Amino acid sequence: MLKIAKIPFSTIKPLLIFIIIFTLFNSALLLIVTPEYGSQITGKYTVILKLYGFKLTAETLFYAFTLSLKYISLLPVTLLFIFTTNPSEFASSLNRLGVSYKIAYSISIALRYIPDVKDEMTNIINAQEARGVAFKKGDAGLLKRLKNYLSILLPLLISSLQRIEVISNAMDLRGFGKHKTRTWYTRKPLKSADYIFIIVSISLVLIGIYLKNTYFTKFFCLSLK
Amino acid sequence: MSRTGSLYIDKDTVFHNIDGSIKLLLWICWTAFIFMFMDIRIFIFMTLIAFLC
Repeated sequence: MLKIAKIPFSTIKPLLIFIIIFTLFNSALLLIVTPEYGSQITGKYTVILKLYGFKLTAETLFYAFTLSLKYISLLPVTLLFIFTTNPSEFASSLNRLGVSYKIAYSISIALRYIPDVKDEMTNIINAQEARGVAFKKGDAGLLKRLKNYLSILLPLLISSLQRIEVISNAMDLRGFGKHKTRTWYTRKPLKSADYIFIIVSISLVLIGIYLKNTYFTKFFCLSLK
Repeated sequence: MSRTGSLYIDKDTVFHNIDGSIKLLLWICWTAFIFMFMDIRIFIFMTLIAFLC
């Protein structure tokens, strides 16, 4: 799907790394907090690590791995949606579904201003670096750099609030919200490909329900013995 | 990243031409499908489809 959408791997690579780190962190916490949860589900106890009162089972490790892969399998479609959807077109299509144009427009704005907030963060980091604050590896220790990164949160929050004020004033000046309905510059009629994707999406859920009730009813755990 | 002010990459593909709400429906259905299971075989299959196709 990502190949068909011609999304370059270099674009998704940072997000992919972030999600993998997040899932690893999530799995590590799961293993620490509930080290025998996988065994409780499967009924098998294959202890692979015993440390004082802490017992980690292979089933829990497999459960954590499965859970990580579950999150990763959600990533491509999310990326597909983010990178191939024009925010303005998305707002108009939501409005067509019956969502209030005020809500649709707020979603559109949220999507549109993510890169601006990122640019603002880069500007703040550059400004802080010019004042001698260390952000790069080698300039300071890890803890010091993390602390420095925390110090950019407040200016970023203030600049975002200022941006919100500017946008809301501009919207007020243009009479946003005065009428119950509005027209859209980028509204397109549904095509045959759209109907095909509706059928594919609904079929996916129906196939899922069927498989869940027939072949994949429980947590699958590879037999380790 | 697009300088028009979003993460949107302007290209002429099937996915770019689909309506935004339909893509949202696809995302919801994909997520619902994934969350029905706790089976690594399903996740590997879906991940491979999404990344390699």
